[in-house]
Amino acid sequence: MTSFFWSNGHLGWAFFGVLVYSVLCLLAGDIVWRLTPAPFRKILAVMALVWVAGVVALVALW
Amino acid sequence: MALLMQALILSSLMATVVMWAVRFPYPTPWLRVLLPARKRWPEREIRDWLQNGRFHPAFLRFFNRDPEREPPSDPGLVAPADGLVTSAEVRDGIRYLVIALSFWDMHVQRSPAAGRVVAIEPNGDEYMDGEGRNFSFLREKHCPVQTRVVIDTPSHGRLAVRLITSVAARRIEVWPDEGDTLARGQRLGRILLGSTVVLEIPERFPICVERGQRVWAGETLVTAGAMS
Repeated sequence: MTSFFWSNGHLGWAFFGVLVYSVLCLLAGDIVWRLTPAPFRKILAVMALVWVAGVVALVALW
Repeated sequence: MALLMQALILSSLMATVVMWAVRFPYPTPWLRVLLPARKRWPEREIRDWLQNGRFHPAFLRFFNRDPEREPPSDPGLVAPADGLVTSAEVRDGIRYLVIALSFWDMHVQRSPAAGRVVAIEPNGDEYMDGEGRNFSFLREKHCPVQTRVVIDTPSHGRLAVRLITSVAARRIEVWPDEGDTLARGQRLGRILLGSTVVLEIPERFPICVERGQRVWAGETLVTAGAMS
């Protein structure tokens, strides 16, 4: 059985990719927040956009 | 096999997120290496460590660094400490060049000129200088503990370097003894978690640094030239 969440006895690669990508986004956002003087809301908005774009790309690849 | 690999990767990522959440707002250890010193160990975190006495070992290694320094060829005085020049007031013919050290500055002090140590004057918690506890350049410091190292130099006459710390830190190491000869830029001592170094220079030597300028011990010229 192959689905987004589960595939041949392991997590679906797209789902797995989304999980890994989400954690990396969180850590990257933290670094950006510490290193730039930009307001927190702006950083949050940009990171949310980047995250959504990445997830859409991963799902599209799947 | 794929499931095992996924489980391993996801568990380490989960551990990273948990560590990130526990450490927040301070940076998680995984991210510290990517940050410059001031961001890697934020001031608030260092002040917490001062309260509980448990310092991050990597911060202590960073704080205790003691790099080699190469004095410039110009015979002028070199800065005795790393830090920011905050004042250069003159009183009674002496210029007091105040250098403020931050938690992230190198804390080993160096001799501003070649000469001989004629006196080492430690002043403890009870120190009063005749104008109240502080000179004007120390107005913001409430209980400074000072050690004043007086150096006789052939190039600039009698100088003094004051190493100043707070009662909270109160640890000053001075390495030469009275009568010892110092080379220009030679290591003089260390303030442990202290914050200020004052260089006392005869007023007749014009200084070439200004308030707000960053200086480096043993390398930055604070006066140009020497006595002819």
